[in-house]
Amino acid sequence: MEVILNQLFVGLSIASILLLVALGLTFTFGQMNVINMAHGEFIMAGAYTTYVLQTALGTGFLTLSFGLALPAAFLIAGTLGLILEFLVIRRLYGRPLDTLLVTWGVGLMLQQLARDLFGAQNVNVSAPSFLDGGLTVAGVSLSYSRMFIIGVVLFVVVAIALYMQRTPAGRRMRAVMQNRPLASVSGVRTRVVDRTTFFIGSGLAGVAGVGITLLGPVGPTLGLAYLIDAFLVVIVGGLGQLRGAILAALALGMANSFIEYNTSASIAKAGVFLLIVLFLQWRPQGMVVQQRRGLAS
Amino acid sequence: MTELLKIRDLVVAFDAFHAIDGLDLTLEEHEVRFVIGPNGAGKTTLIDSITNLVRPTAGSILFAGEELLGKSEYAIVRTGIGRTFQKPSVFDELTVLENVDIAASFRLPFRSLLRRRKGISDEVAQTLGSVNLTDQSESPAGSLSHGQKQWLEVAMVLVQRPRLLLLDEPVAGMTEKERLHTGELVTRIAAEGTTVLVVEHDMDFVRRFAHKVTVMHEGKILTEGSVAEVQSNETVREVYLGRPRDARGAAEALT
Repeated sequence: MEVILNQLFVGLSIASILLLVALGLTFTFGQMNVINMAHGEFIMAGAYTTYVLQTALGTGFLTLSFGLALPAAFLIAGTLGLILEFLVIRRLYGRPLDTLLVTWGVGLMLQQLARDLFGAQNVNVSAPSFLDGGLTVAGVSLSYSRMFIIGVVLFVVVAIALYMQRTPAGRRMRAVMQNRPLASVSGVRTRVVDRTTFFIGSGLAGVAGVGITLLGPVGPTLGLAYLIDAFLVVIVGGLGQLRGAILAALALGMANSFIEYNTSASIAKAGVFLLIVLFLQWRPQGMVVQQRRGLAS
Repeated sequence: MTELLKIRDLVVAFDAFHAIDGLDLTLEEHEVRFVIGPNGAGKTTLIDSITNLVRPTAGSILFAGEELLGKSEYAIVRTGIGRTFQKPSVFDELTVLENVDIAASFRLPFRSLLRRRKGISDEVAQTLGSVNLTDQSESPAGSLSHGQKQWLEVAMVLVQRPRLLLLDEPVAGMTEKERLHTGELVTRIAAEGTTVLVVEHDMDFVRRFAHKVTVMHEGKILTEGSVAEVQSNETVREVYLGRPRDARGAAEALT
């Protein structure tokens, strides 16, 4: 029983990190079909934002610098995304392979930039003191930093859902993704919507970067490790579907945690990949598919 | 009568194929004009080039004296031109009300789009009423019937109070009752002062509701006139009868 509870929490914890790095991609990849390989470097930018704030404010203000890092990372990564969209991606809409190669190159440049600015060595971000330690419930220890990440993910998910469902701007975003020509002749500025979508998606990568500093050291190639996982979550969940991404992250996290308990970390990784391949054979569109009726597509 | 829309020497080329090939068309303010023609005559391309969904190769489109070529889609919407599509096109996953709301808020600045709006404006409610969709306002647009989707599309355009309304086959796939209702709606819109251009295949509908008809053929205007004049025109007969795949349309058109 204890084992199951413990693995459930580990699974939930993995799921929350998967979802955190994937949320931004549900916008740029899911909604706009842009394969942005530099997404990982936006995560890295968010992580270094935390480091810079912490160094600037000193160790006396860990909580403050960490709190500031969340919005700051969103803005910085979002702005990087806007620049990338303006300089590169808007010239490549509808050309996924070219986008993939070009953004991969941009990613390498950003990594080098990080090396030049912060050195090739990994840097350490200290967690605020209120995240030290953990809670033991029914024999299972829950660390505060993992619970904090889960909290951040919940907050971001609710914020995204409210934005998409309740605000006219969010509805416009959904409208453009559902039917671009109709949106444009209905007076929606599709270019503005594209830029906003890209800003939000990239900004969320920055927020993910802040969360990831709680898990280990920060280095220039930090984002790469999470990039593939993030794409997998979006694909398994169904393109552009927030609900799908949540389900997929939970499923992958749990599968990882339970396979890992019985075997080893690398077997678990391979096992999860195998499950994904099988699942996509069965449902290539992913878990949640847009409901459509009639001839219009 | 003043000229509202003045198209001169319009050419739309897709590589070597000229979908529109030197077309001239003038619409007076407050007129209702029906455009007919065999398949591939360029009728939809004409509407697409007015709303900038295709970019014309040459020519000029003046709307109330203002050149439309080179303007973006939303700028054209703002000058007062609305259109519908041949296939019913609505935002399937948004509710009927949200669909109309997106169209209705086309002039609002981006800032105001971040605030949640409460309630329904009179204009939106009234427009939904005029197309008989008040009861469905909270349903997802994807669940509407074919005919209702087309009305919703018309409502989304009407709520913007356009000066020029372009309808692309508004009664395609509708039942007899829905056609009648649509015809009455078009007549009413025109009576309220909107200029309307209707592309239509259904000759029965054209005969019942059209006064002035323009016939297109191979990207050009073949002739213009009343329904009776067009029907008795020799060249129109040839165009329809000369192409076997349009024989059925021709028989309908000319009987």
